[in-house]
Amino acid sequence: MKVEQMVKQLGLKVKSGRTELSREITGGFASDLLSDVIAHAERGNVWLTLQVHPNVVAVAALKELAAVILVGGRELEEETIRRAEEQRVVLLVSPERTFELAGKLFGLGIPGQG
Amino acid sequence: MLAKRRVDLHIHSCLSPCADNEATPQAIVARAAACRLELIAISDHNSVKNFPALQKAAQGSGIQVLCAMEITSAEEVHVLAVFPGRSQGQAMEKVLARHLKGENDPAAFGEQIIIHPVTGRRSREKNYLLGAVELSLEKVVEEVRQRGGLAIASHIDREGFGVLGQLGMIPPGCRFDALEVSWRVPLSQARERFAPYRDRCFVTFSDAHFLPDIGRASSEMLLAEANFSEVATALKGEKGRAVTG
Repeated sequence: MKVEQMVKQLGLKVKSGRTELSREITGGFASDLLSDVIAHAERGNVWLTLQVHPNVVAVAALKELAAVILVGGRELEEETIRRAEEQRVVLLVSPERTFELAGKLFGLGIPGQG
Repeated sequence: MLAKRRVDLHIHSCLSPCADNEATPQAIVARAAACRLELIAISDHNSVKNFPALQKAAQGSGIQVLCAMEITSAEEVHVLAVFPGRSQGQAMEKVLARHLKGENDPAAFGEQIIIHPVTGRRSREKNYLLGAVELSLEKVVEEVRQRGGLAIASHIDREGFGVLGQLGMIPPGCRFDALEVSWRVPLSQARERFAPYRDRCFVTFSDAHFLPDIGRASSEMLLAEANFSEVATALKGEKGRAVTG
């Protein structure tokens, strides 16, 4: 599934990386410890987190993730969005929480790591 | 005259819900003396309310004390903040109190005990101190430095509540005065283990939550006197002052 299909199906808000929405999603990953994401997320994953620190962008770029979904309707700082645009990182926002979103992603056929 | 002194600026007292109720400022000073520490600080979570009792307990003990606290940022990163004096610490505490939510449940999290400096009477802190403040890591560091304080990244080797565990890397704009490794990592190995940050100043403190933990780690600093400005100079590595081991 491509990022843009997921955005439509789940009604996500696109905060950055509008030109990158044709990326293919390889799987889902949920964690709020960025060190855990660095260690275990895989290229092309969609990452669910409630962290909104600018380092989220650095980690997403480093791991070449397809997109990041910021859960719980978190507000982003301008600086984070600016960095994301610069590094072509797709930041998406959902009012829902991690558990519900992960369930819906499974429903869409996006697999986990195991 | 410059001399090597043993310093531990990361000790939790009975005010931290996760620490032993017997870790009163008086007991901490006694244990620190037995461990031959010369300069210590109590660093409770988001509070300096046991600092007055620490000052009182240290009088005549030969141990010097600093005002400190361990702040939990919005990202749940712990920052060890050390202040020039009591007023700056208390000012910071007021800022944090506006950004902390909820009351403590002693049965679930532990007691938060304030010791009166004169009477020794015990009272309870109601606000839940273990929570994260609604301030970003950068903002916390900035607020500490604005008050002339030192911002030290707590136990960077720990996965939980350390900056590297929570955020994967030290944010480029984050101006820490030093990086702390816990007792699990010998200070001599810290630079090698955290090679990307080898140019930074490293320290190690006990992060004691129980009295016997005091002494399990401390930093040796070359200082003219055991006080705040000497420590600040040592962390910068200036004027012959330094962290030596």
